[in-house]
Amino acid sequence: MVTERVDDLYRRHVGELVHFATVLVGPHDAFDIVSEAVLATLHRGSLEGVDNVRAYWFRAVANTAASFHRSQSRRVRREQLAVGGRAEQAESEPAADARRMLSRLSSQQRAVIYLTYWHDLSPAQVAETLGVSDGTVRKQLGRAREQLREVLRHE
Amino acid sequence: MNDRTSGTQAGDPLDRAIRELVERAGSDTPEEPATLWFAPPPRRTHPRWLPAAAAILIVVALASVVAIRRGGSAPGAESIVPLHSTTPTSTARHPSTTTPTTVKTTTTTTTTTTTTTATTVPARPVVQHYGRIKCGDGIGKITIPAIDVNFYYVACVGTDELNRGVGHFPKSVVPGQLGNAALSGHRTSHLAPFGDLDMLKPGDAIQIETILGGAYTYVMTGSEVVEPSDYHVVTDSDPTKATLTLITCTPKFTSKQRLVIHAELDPTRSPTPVGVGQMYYGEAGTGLSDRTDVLPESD
Repeated sequence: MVTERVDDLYRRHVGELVHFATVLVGPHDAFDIVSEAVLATLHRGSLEGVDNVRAYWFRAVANTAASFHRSQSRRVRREQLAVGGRAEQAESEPAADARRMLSRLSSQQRAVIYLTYWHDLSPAQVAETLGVSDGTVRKQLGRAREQLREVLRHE
Repeated sequence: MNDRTSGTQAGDPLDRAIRELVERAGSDTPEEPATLWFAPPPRRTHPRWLPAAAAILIVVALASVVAIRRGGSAPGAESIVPLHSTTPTSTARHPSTTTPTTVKTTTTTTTTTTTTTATTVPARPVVQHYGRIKCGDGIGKITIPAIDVNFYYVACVGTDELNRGVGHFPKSVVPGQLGNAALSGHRTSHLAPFGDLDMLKPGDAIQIETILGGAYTYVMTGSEVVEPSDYHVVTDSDPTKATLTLITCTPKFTSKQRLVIHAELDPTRSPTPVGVGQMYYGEAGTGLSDRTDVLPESD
């Protein structure tokens, strides 16, 4: 299905991918996450045989963000920034608050919440996008909603 | 909307709160760079020696041109600058980053408004018969070369229709007819058909092709930011003029306000005469997804 050039595809989807990454990790690292994720999919081979590039990239961003949280690279990058790297992306206070509340969820739950509530996807569509089973999505969505109910109550 | 079986009903306060939370979490999304910051390696489809051979040919050709020029005119008087050097089109068409969360104004702010030529009323407007149209039916195509938009538009502007692309407000005329035609599309989600609407400049062309075979060119005349309740941008209509209104959400990644683009038909660039006529949206009163006369959320 890949009849378009990669950079056209990329240009088409970069906005929503960066938005997704921002919800997951904040504006500082959003670009890094997206470029790392997209580049990884390109290195892994071409996009040929990939039915739905957009879904593939969403999955890649979700996975990259998840490992990013675990890795040390985040701290290292921050230190580099502090030493005087490129200009800091502005982080707004309410947005950071919202992310802090979402950070109580696992990264998979965060991805499920994002796709469900921002893109209005059904559990089946979320499952397809994230490459997991329908049941997993429903379970994670249920748990995430309960978690957020708690978090929101304490606000 | 109806295919959501997860229990995320629109009315549930928890779902509303989560939706709001997600919107807030993404509200400081940085503007994406206009260009790629990495270039995937191009696939080689030609033999290795081809670029080298082409380069040699070009050098030889240029050298001979220069030699011929030198022979005739004063040296250095002309260089090999292209004759019509276009003004450098910068890639920095993105406006400076705005912080969406600081938008507190509730007033309507008009940003640009210019006027262009008035559309002449054709002697006898053609009656257009669209027949019976259901919400979701494709009824035309919108092309905006300046911002690389190329989308079909469908009847109605409900969630289902807008999630699939651009939608037509049933309470407005159809593009290509006298009066105001209004289309809506998402800004950042669901294919983001109207993502770059803010980059349109007065004079930019908006081309319409209808399923009846009509082709029309509208010219952008101005833009404004309005509140979701300002439904008049859809219904304000001068029956003697063919105008087009494009509506999307602003600021990016929110559904707080609406960015509205106004355009007017340019009859000199529209091969098909404008028409009059009504759309028949199934049974009266049903299927009109813009139920509450509020500009739909198109974030």
